[in-house]
Amino acid sequence: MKRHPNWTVILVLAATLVLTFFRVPLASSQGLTLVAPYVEQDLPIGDPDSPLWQQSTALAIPLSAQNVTRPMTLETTVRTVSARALHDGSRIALLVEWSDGTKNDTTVRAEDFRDAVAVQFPLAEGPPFFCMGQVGGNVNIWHWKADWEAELTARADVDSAYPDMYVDQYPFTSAAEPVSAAPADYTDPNYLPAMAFGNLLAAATRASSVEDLVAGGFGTLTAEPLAGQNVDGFGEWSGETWRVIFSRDLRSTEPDDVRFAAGKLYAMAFAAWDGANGERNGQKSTSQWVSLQLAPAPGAAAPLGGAPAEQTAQRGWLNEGFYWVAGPVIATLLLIPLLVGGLMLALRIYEKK
Amino acid sequence: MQRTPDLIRWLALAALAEWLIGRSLTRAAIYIPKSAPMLAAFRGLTLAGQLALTLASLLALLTVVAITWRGGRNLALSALLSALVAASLVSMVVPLGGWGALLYHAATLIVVGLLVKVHLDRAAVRREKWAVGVTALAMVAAHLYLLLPPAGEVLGLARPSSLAIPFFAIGELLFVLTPLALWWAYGRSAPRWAWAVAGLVAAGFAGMRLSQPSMVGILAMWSSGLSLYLPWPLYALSLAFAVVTVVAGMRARHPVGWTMILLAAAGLAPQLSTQAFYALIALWALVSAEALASRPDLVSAVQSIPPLNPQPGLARALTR
Repeated sequence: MKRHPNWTVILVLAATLVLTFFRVPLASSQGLTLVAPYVEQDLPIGDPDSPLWQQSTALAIPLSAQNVTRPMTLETTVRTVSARALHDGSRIALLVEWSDGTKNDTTVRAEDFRDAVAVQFPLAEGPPFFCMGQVGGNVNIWHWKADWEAELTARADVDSAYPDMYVDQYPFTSAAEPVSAAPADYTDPNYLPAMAFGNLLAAATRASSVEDLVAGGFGTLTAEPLAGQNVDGFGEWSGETWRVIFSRDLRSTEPDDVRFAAGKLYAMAFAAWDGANGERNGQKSTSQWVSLQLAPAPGAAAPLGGAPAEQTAQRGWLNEGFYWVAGPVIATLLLIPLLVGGLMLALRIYEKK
Repeated sequence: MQRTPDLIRWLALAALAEWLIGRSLTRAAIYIPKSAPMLAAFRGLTLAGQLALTLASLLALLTVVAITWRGGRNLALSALLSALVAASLVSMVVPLGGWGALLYHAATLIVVGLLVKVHLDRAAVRREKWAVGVTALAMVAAHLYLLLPPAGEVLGLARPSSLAIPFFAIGELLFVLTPLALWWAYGRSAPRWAWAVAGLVAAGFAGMRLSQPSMVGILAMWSSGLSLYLPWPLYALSLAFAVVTVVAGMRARHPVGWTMILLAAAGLAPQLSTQAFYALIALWALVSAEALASRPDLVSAVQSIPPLNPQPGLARALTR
């Protein structure tokens, strides 16, 4: 007897291949959404107590538990960060708060680890299920560091931790003995090669307490060039809580920066490090993906997906075909069974009457 | 015992692949050597995860539509499920905010309530009622945690709700207890070798948790939405009972095995509509299977509804 092919299975598998190839999402985000309202005033990028922040509904976001140096501690509370966001049409500000009983803002000694918080934005479209980005889909990371915040005021060096230290000699500097030499004391910057090359970590002064990074898969975390470090940060510790404000222009010219537009949905995730717990690098607490939505200005009809020019700049030629041809066709094919089901339901209700 | 519909079995397998590959293995790949063959294998794994997600999403949508189609007398359930499917498709283009998100999660809660009511209305042993109750309560707590932020936005509240994290914590506790409850109700006939397998899985988790607590915590948050705030032995125990329940369900041809897989893939506080549908379908399968098994007249009634397509298709896949 001739076996008929199972057309349902073939159709489903074919649809899967087509939808994956054209990157058509069939799942929508239904997790937490942080809405950034529009404000006309200047954003409070240096004032976490500003009443403007009350215009944004804060989200309490749980983080993964962390037991690095105290594995036997049975902490039965969920570690969380609270996040708010505002925008004024040209800049966006994010206020992130979390509980931390200790202020760890120095990394001079080898045993010191900093408090830090990071926000991650995937640059590729589609479900971002990869912590450090995927090949072909980078993530833009804004990493605030407590020691960088402290160094905005004064650079910390070995003598900050050991004020009674003695120095025999610092060659190529004009520093008096026995004090340590500051970068400005060097007669030739080439004797500070990292600094001379513009290495961000070796910078003599800090322009921002936030490091702007990009990652495209594990082991690829890279700081953006010095000229591309365009995220401002402000951090304040109030005894029990860190409050950190990230701010940046909505539209960035850097190729690896996330670009924001009103009305569009963005994914972001948070990570926090507690220096007192020895947390650093991959030893951190992370959150799930949270959606960020910038509310349009009152009276302004914001385009659904942001400015068309920006969309084109972020998408390849293949996706243009999807948006104008394949997408509507596929959406229609998916809606057909839904419509049929609805008709059947309506018929059944009618028959019962 | 009523055989689990084919569509749900396919969905459970696709969900398992999507969960293990797309949300778990690729994240754990951070430890592998970064040689060219390994990178190529990682890219292949990533593509497999994307295919699994697409397949699982497609099957989840089709399953919910099929459940709606075959909804029987429960028109409210059918209408709400249709609304959830429509909202999930619309929200891919127009983000649900404020009232939209609030109504979406409220509708999900009502669906869970209706399914529990169906289960409680039938004659069922007390431990089965408790099992379904614990499963449903975990989903309720998680969706209440997700519902509070849009509710705050609608009400114009600035501070996060003080109930959000407690709901999350309660939801995680109930989520961890769900395998125990399901095992107690349906999985006690599991063979001894299932316990050996479960012990190995639990030991593996315990070893990873003790040696790499950070990575395991991150992995759990990314793959299942669990923060691991409870003492880790509880999670190991829950994992073991889940494995035993799956084995017991498969051997007895009871939907609880597939339900357990779908619930694990759904995770806590699902981020995607697909994951939310996993959980709803799992609950429906658990509730409806018992209903069908205890009411042979319902079985014939469901199977007597003529499908639109005489070829083997969605309609027969739900009753075969």
